[in-house]
Amino acid sequence: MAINRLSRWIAFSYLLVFSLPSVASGDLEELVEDLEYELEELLDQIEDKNKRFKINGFLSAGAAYSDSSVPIESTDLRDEVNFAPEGVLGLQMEFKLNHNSKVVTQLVGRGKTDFDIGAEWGYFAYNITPALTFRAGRVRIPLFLLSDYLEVGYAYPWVRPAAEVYDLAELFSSQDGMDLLYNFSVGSVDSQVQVGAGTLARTSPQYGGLTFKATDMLTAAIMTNYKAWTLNANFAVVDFVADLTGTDLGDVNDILVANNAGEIKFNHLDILYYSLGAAYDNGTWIVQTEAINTSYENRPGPQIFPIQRAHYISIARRFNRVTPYLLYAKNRTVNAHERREADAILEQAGLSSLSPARVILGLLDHTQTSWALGLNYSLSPKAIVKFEWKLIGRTKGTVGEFEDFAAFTSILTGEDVLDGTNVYNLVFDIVF
Amino acid sequence: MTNKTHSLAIASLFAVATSFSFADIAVVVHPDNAVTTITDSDLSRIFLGKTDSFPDKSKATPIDQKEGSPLRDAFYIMVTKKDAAQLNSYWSRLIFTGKGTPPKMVRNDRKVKSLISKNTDHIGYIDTANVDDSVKVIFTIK
Repeated sequence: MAINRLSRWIAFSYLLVFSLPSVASGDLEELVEDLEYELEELLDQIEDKNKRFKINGFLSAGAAYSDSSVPIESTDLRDEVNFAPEGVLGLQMEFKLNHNSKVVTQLVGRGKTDFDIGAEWGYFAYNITPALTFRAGRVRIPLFLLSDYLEVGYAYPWVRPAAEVYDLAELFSSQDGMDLLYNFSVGSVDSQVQVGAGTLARTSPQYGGLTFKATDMLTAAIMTNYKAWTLNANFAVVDFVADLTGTDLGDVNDILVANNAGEIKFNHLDILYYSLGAAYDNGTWIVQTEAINTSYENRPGPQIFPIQRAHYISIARRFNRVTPYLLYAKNRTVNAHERREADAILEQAGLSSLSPARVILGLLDHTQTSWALGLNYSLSPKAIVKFEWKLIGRTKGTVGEFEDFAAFTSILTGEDVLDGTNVYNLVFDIVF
Repeated sequence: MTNKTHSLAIASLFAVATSFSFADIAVVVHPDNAVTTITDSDLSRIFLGKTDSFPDKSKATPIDQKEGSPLRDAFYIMVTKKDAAQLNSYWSRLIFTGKGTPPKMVRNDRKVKSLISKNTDHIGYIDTANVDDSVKVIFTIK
């Protein structure tokens, strides 16, 4: 079809060139206009063909430095300049099957895992109606407000969303299953509801020495927009199955059972996630806040798992290309007393405070706050450079976002090495 | 042809941010479209993909101008209060989550008119100097 049009256009051009001397100037203008029209139609046909297949991508690259010798859990960052934690490369390919359906896949490689490329997404989407879309395959889990685009640095003003909140979502980034997206408007208020079900895409990740899988996940999210305002509420329940064999938590369980304190529930433990958020963006000011809660339905049995509450609030102001921002975040566990009950039983059983079983119980407690002051500069409509200074603090006796057995034992022995850690970042975020 | 003209006070606020000058922008639909006027808020919702309907609930399909065109930059600053970078940030949240697709882009005013004249649900924006009988103006940005 396009070839036919091309040959017509060439013939048309030929006629134009050889008939020029005999054409009046008014006719000539008309002829040129016709030619331009034909050419545009031809280009449209070629473009429409190409538009069936689309590639988009995002890239983050930069460097980070922490002045603490104790590594930070989510990034493994310590007191040396490190380029890997900031690196993310994502490629998204979309192929339109027809007017109502498409196949989308997103490949993501991360610096902290040597850019091993993995399929973060791969799903088939079908528009049942213009407002209702069904998706099946590997989809992102809308655990919190930013979970869907956590790694697309260009999409938010900070170097990265608050770790105090979003590290809680790290394990549950995508699921194999299906979801439904429904858009509706009431007056000028536009909303989207998303409900999904599936199993965790990564079946046996290692976390704190545990091998676990999430057999069933149910998620629900609603996001509402009105002018500059966005409100969101997210809920997820994860059916969690863990293998404790040979782990420190397995030892804790054995001692509790031997002392008639009951058995810790590790099979089909339900983890519940709730999130409420609000954002305001009028083009000049961006204010965003979110509060989340994670808890466990693990009764009966000893309550050793932490109930965590976290929140953040951020304010940013755009001055043309420059956007300074401030981000405050806090994460805390609220049921330390329940772990102390289990710890008392371990102590009665003769375990010292530095025994692995008692240390691992203590590691479950977190209290951390952070302040991040940053500035981003728009290099072009598709590239931003961000600078950030972050000060991390914790309540004494908890490990916060840090990890290291030695660090924890140093806290137990009164040597607190984690007070007031400074983290510096320089990151380039690009979309293409 | 019904032509309701709106003067946007925000124009002066963004004059500094835009380093180019542009003629008035006309928001246009098919002459048979029942819609005769629209607010900047509803325009913003349609072009940001928040709704796919005109205020009278009939289907609305936005047609965009090509990336980097001064007309496009001016339109989005006036209507959505977003410059090109903010617009890319907004769409990246939707594209990379599979929750939205930006409007179809075309090369110039003539193509906008050509598409709209063949589709009663389409809405686009062009330089007012290029308005003719093939389209109906429902909003003017000065």
